[in-house]
Amino acid sequence: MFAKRRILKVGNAPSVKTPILLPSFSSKGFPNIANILKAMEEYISDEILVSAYDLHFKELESGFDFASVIFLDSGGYEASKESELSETFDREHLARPWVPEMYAEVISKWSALSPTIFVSFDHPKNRCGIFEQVERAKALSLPPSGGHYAKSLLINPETVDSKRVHLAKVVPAISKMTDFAVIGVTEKEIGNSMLDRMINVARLRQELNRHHPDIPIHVFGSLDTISTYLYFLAGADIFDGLTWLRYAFSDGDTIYRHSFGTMNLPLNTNSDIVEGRCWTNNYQYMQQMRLNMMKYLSDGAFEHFGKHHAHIKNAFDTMKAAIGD
Amino acid sequence: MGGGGGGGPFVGRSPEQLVKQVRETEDETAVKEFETELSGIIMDLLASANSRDVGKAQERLDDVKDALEGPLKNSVDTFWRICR
Repeated sequence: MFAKRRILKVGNAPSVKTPILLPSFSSKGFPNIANILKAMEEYISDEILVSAYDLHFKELESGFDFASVIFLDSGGYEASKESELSETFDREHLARPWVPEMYAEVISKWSALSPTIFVSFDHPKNRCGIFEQVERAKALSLPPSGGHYAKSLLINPETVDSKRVHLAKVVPAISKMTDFAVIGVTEKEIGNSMLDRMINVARLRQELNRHHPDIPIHVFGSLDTISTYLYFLAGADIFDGLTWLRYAFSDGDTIYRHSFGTMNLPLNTNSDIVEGRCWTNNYQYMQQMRLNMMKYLSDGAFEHFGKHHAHIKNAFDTMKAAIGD
Repeated sequence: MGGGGGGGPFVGRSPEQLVKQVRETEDETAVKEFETELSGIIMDLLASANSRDVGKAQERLDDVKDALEGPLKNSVDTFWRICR
């Protein structure tokens, strides 16, 4: 059993139990992200993920204390032209220069009252070996007032040309990964296929447990109605992504927003309102997904995962067979 | 449903106004869902009432009538009638 309710400890703040499904906010692909965040504040009371890049470039303004825990991503995603698996941009993203000093400046001004997890600096043009990644992440300075702050290590590929994180290279450095509340990987970089990614998450879980039992694993960019369940079964605990702003979650599927509107709303509903309804629907759907995961942990029944439960169970069984568990 | 509504959720609309409009559609949907659910319950109840055993019900009513006529030593007119 890889899936489990684990404890996220953020400094001296009250601990939070996983699984955690994070609605992420990013300017990449969403020029109105500040307005989207403002609109969603009324609905959200749990954890969120925002980007330091967006704060630095004034795409977002601080004031996230409506959230119970804030994950501050460094901004590598926004600073790159790279895509995540669910992207469908209709406009060019212009990445601006982004360096560790800019991230340090955002952190130094951070004064949120909500517990905050600071993700290690990440930039596609700034890569290094895994041991150095660990040391750089440890050296990240948190705000002095930060009894309720903690760090997360995002494991990246080791070179600019490499597209993947290779577990064989990561494993020797795991014993050094102390002082982190969370260990993260991006969905895109952890494998070439869904099975490959599940296997690698499960292996990472096994290896982490040897040195840091039950430290939560965060899979960046892994939020949708099926993948999230699969990574959860592989032993991951925290899931985020922008799919919830791009599509609609409906009865086990991640669908085209206008299809959701046609099936669930009066046909004369203005498409702009359909878009807003998708965001609120998706957030509520994510909360239900979290409950479904907890129900699964309670009785082991895959039926809690909804109409695709047979496919989900099959993927899990295949993963277990592949890793010989 | 294709294309945009008015060019984007925040074109000519503040985040607060969007939330208000979204809430209104949520309320409308909730009322419609409630009405559909209520109508389903009423239909089920009517169906179960209509599917009662008419012969047996008439038999029971006749038993009641006989039981009343005994002590009264008079005939009793019933004001009910089972319709088929």
